[in-house]
Amino acid sequence: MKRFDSAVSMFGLTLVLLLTACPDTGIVCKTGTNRCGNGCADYTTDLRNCGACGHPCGTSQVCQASQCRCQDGTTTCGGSCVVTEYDTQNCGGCGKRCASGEVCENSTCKTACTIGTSIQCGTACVNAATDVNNCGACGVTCQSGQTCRNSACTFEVVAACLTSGELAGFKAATGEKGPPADVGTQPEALASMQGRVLSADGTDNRLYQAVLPSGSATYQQAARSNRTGSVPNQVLVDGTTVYIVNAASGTLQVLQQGSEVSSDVFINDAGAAGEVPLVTVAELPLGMNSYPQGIAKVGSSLWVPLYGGFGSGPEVNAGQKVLEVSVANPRAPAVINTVDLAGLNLQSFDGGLTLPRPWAITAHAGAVYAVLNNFDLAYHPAGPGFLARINPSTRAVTLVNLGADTCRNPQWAAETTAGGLVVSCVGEARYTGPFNALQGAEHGGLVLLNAADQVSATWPSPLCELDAGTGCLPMLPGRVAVTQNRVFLADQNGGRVLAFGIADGGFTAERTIQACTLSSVTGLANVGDLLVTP
Amino acid sequence: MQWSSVALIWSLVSAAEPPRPIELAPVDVPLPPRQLEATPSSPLKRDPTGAITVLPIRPAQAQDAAAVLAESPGAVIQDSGGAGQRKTLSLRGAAPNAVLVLLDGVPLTGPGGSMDLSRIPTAALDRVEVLRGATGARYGPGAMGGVVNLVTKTPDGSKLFGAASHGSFATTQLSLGGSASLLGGDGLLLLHGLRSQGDYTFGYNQTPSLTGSQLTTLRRENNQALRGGGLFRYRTHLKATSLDAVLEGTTEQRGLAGTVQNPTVDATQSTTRGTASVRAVHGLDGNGELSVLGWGRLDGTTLRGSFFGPGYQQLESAVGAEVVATRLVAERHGVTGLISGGGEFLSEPSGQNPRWGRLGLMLADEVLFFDGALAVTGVVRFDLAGPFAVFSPKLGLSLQLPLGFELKGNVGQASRPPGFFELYVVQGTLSPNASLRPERALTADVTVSTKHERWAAGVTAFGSLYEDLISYEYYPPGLAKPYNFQAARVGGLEVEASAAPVSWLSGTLAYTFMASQNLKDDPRYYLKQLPNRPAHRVSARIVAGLPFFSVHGEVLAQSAQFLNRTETLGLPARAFVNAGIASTPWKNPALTVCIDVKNLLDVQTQDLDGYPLPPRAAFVSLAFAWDAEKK
Repeated sequence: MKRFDSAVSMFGLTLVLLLTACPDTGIVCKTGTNRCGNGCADYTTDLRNCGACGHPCGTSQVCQASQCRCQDGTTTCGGSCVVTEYDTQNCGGCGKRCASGEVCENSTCKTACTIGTSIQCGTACVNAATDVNNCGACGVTCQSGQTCRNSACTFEVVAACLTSGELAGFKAATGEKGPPADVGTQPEALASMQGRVLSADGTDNRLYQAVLPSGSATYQQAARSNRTGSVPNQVLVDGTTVYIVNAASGTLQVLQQGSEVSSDVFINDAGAAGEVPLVTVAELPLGMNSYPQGIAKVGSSLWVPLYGGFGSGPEVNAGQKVLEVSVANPRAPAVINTVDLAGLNLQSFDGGLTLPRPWAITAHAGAVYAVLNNFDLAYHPAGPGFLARINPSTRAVTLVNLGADTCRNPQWAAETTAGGLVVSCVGEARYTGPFNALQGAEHGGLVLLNAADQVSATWPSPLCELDAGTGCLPMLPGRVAVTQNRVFLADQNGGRVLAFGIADGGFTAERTIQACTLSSVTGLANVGDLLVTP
Repeated sequence: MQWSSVALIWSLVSAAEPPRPIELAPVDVPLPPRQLEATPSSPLKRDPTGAITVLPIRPAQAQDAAAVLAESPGAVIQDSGGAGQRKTLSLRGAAPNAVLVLLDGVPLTGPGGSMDLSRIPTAALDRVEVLRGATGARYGPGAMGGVVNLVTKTPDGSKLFGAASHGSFATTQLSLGGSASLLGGDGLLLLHGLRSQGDYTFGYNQTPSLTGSQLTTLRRENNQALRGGGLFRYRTHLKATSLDAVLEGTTEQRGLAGTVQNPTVDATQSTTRGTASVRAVHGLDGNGELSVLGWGRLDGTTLRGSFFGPGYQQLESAVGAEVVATRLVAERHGVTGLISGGGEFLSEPSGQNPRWGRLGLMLADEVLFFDGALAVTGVVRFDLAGPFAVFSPKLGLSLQLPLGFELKGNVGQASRPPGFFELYVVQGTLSPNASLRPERALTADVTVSTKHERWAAGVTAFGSLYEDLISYEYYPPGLAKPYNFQAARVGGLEVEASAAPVSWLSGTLAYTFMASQNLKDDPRYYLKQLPNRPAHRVSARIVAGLPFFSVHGEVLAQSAQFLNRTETLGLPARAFVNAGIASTPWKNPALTVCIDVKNLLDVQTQDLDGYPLPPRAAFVSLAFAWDAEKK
């Protein structure tokens, strides 16, 4: 019997030992970032943690590829990064010293600054409107990925990293990135207002603001935020007024500057100062199951496409429309016209039912253009992508065919400075294997329309890999943003931004920027929106 | 050193009393706590040291099992709103699909499924047993938060009983049953039905971003439910063997109203489910018993309406068997061995049609010390569930203390293998992931309780660590996929009390404090609370009066809770107050008339985002029971 009891006790103790395996816990950093202090840092671009945690770069340096290197426009002289344009120790070249009491301006030693745009910072004559080392004032240094514009450091292009909850800024011309900034949880839509970035958040149902304090390496989330409806899909800034369409709530929200604190305003004491105080002044219900997706403004009217609910009956019939909403008085928006898209011939591939659901909208050449996915009831592209061109005066609708081979499932449209319209198309997603792993998307990419709404150029997105050696991470085109001579295309699957030149009437692929860090859980990242700062 | 201590304890153990004859249990599921006897209770109680609450079924006062379970400590109900609409249970912070729900010991869901408790009407039930904590060692995979056992009515003599109620939102319930001697045993037959229009009004904020906006009164549409079902149970004895057969099922059609913002006006769900089981329990010379259970389950669901396109149809089915042997050994050991096996199948439109087998082995020993004042139980269970192997150990103790107090403690581990849908089947915008691992929970709890003639009380402190939690992550363009990555801790207190100080006054109280924390996640979610888990929850009920006339009042209150992982969206605290009167003017036949008002204060709230709960409602019910053997 003793033997039996001993066996039982051994059994019990073994049991206790088996229970000691505690779970693995801690912060899950995104792919490419490392645990650093209380958060995660991107050692490849973070000026404060370049190559390692707590390893900052020096003056006139940027962090690129985990290395501190001299900022663009500087020269290495004696191991230091200097600007030979105005460094009196290296004026016009390394070792070219100016005499005592002289200043250096435009690579020339002088007795005083003489160019009208110059200010004197010590012995240097600098243009504070554009100089990244003296941006707006002597000694104010812009950081990685930033440029100095109108005397302020800024990121020229900002990507909303939907899945990682970050904003990532970079230079338009070079793609040089700054460190990403945590802003909210799931930034869905961006806009710029008075130097701040407005970020509508799809998880938190908040409109956050990101500010870029002088000398800051990246954006900081501001203290004040505003409540939004559910799934805020697009933000439009018009002077001091902000319009938001909340897709799941089915409302158009109007905010204006105002310092009062009401229940729609949240204050996070840990946030940065300097935001624009906003207050919701109106909210217009657009109907249940309406799913408003976008906003375009023409004159004193907003044009709001209603996508409709998920389903095929009453839910979908709540959509297939574009509303004209008068905002002559932004505090009292009112629907004044409805453009019904139902019944348009969308050239179904098999003659079956396809639906003119408007997914996005933009104003262009005096008209508004609604983007039509052209899905069947199962949400598969069932015909070529279309734009519905709406004459704001007559509300007449004409269809623009984007091509069955070149554009299926169009997503977004943006006006180019040359008077054209660029449209992004997801394409038709292909899945592989029994468990629907995404293989890629066919018949997607970019389409450029000329002033006559004819397809003048296309860029087909690759089925699988974009960059050699990175494996197959399919590209899924998302929203586009346009600068004077470039188009930036968001990737909803790999977190990339593709930069194209649009000089000569066609697309010239320039570079791929890994704007958003990949999730260590899913291995994916989604650029939800792109913003070109003014 | 440990071994010498153990040996010392062994040497102090005195001989226990001779084993007593063991009464055969109707089912080998947890029974209400009973007086300590100096014999191991393993043959009678499957988990002698577990934290268990037994909830009685009061006639004509609850529409489904979810309403009964709302009174349990540690329980949080997620309610879609309305009679016959989906209701699920979270126990001790575990997700609904990590709570094992049994009907007379038969599991009601397939792998990874969360049981819709609105589909189990109270008319068919005798009581509900809630065993909280990591009970996987006793009940197998899926029981991370605990086990709920729904115990059906038992044939008992010649009786007739029934109930009818009618009230708000055109809600009508009927049940009629009886038991009688049948083929040398006892049989029970029960039929029940429910019909509800569910078209209640609620306040809706059409402009949620605007301060001071007025609520618009809307009516819930397509929220109706129609349900019918039956229960047949037969018990008999063949010498030292008792046989117990149960056949039960329900069929239901309900509207799926959708969220308030995005209603689905023509979406419907039709379900038909049923279980069949036969259990034989054979006494072993007064020293134990052998229990054999065979069971089968069918559960079909059809979704219709424009929301679902051409429609959706699935059929889950399962068969299983379980053999449990318990035996008293060397006077102070209650040894239990279990072997179980079966198969689970899913038929669904995409044609994946997954199926897998199950095999479970369990060995438990309950050892008494100090004349039975201390009982220690050790359990190990090993399960194969499809491609997964799951190990579930547990150590428990029960100690009699002075002044009528008892202390129970448990430490254990439980797991939940991924479900068929998580592993294999595309569901709308949800994609599967075949590389998922089982979730795991480590749980410890300590209970101090006391029981006296007119009152009883207990306090339980618990803590759980969850690992490899499965969570869906967004997968563009529009597909989400499940991954193992989260870890969380949940801890808290559960308080239970009941008292009947005088014959005309009685009351019960259940309070739960629960704190949860996300322990492994992106910095946006790390160390934040888990959503849908209110920190405080109270259920209190008081009854005053005599059977001829009594009044009762009930409070179900909970604190604010978050609706998302970032703690940015939440629901405010709320308290539902229910009240009613009841009268039973005759004892046999017993005729009981009740008038109940639910949500007396007309609180407007919701459990899930966009699913409003019913406003104030009133119900009149009539129940009768006639016992032919009672005069």
